[in-house]
Amino acid sequence: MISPDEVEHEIERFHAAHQVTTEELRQAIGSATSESATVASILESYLMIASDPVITQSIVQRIRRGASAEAAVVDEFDVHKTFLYSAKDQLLRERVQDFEHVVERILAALRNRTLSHELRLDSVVVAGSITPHEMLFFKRMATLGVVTEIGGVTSHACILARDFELPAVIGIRNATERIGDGDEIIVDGYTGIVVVRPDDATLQSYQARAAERSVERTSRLALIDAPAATSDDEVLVLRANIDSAADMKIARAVGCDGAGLVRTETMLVAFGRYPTPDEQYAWYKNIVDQAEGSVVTFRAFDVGSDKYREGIPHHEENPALGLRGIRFLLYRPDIFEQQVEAVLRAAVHGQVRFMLPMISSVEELEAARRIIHRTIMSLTERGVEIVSNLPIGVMIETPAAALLAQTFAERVDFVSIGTNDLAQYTLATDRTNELVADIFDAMHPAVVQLIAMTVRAAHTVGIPVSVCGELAGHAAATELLIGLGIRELSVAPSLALELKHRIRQADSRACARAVADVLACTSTTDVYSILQQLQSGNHGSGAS
Amino acid sequence: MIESTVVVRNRAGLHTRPAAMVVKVASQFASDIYLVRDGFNINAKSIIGVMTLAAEQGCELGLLIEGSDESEAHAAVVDLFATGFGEQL
Repeated sequence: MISPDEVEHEIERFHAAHQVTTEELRQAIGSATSESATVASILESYLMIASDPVITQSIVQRIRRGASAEAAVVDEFDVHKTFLYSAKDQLLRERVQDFEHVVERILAALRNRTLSHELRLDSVVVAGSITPHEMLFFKRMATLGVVTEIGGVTSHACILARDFELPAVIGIRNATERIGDGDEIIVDGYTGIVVVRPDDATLQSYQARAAERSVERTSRLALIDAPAATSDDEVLVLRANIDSAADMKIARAVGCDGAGLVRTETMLVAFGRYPTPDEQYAWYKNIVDQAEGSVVTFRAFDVGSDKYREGIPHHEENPALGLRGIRFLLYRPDIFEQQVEAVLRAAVHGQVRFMLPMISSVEELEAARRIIHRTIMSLTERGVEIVSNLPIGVMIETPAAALLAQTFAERVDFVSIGTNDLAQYTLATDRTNELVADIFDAMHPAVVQLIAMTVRAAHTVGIPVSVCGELAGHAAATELLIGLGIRELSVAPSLALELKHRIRQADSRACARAVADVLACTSTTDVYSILQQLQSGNHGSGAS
Repeated sequence: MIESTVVVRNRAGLHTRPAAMVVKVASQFASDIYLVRDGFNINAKSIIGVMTLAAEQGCELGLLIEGSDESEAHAAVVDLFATGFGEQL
């Protein structure tokens, strides 16, 4: 409770914060409209909530009754969130997130910690957390780097930062308190170190390194047409993880051999709903055309209540273990069938593969196959031009799927290992939670064992096995994956040339020898130390 | 002051998107605009208010408009309901 003589001051604080919030949103909408209609429409719904006259009045009344500005905002929005959560209409329940964003923005403005998108061109953003669409703004504002308090290395913000080649250090506790406005800082995205107010010597050494990196990157361009082969001529297939036809074009420009992963759920965000088969067909065909005859691997909608909530019947306490991936697709066969139809039609125009996410049982695979088969039959009857032999693969991203890899390998045309989720589920570690960020590591011996099992199973049966998680783009992991026998990697287009460079430096036989030791490791530290020895080229045959 | 009624015509009812359209249109006018259901006056410029209405297809709502531009506002809101917010009727 605040004292009566503070009431007017609190109301003033709230009005000021409210004005900052709506003004920021207005500016953000203005600048987003030309770039992304989706981002603009999300921001518009935030603005509508933030400028709701009924909510604003009610907050002021709460302050008059003795609440602080912060408490009044939180309490008022809680009432509406509770109402929305209990709503029968699931579209209404999905609005809860919008309300949460607005509350965060007003609270940030009250704390005077600005979430402003009005950035100077030469600045680094230091924030509590960053949403994907904020990241889009930072990219356009030519922000130099990003530091956040919340999020792990594989959080969406971090993945986007990597895609945009934006130096980022995520999960620095109290960063917004330790770093002041106008402080000179160094953001070392390679090692995850942030240096605040560096001395001259440190600054000079970092400037020299940055210059070296830029020379290196230019020299990588010479690798575009070079084969992705190891120094002992083991040829790898290097593909791209993409979200759009524009990405596919970039991927081709940097020499990627098609797409190892197309995240089709990106389209849902763009449309704001499930697109019709015709709309999907156009989107898929556009990507297939950009691929110029190379392989395009569409992953079926990998939705879950943390990513895209439409169609999920109610709020989930634990979305990572909830109705997601193939589980959702089998729960909504109507949505799945429409996607299958569009992919089958687009496949006529190129080399298309189709991949099922979050598989954890053979029954799921069989149920999905029945739906695909049924769709093929009905399209054939209608005389629609489709391919009848679409290669079907599964993502190996649950421990269950890895343990049953042999069974799956016998039933599919290819498998792809999703290392992020495989590590998250094997280590029981939320990969977006900075409190356990140090436990999340795909180099954990248990994860490495599961990857090795999957590769062995695929090789035994003779089907392609690829890795399309963040691990594929991880510097220390290249040798490990080559040594395990992986010959197909898929990474963000921005990482492709660096990865190709590392592949060309590697010796597959030395990698295979090192992996024998890695598989005997009992700790993550040991795995890293073997890989480090290998990278520095002095790996012996004994276990460390 | 103008008083009349409107009917929710689109199949999905007054869900999020139509609710946002109502607010957007209402906010363009200086007049006070209220939707009336079961004796409750809901401010049509309040997104949370309009969403709370949870008006389903076929539902009849009172419309209460008062202000300098009330006739323009009335025409705009009535038109929005009549066309079913551009959705399936």
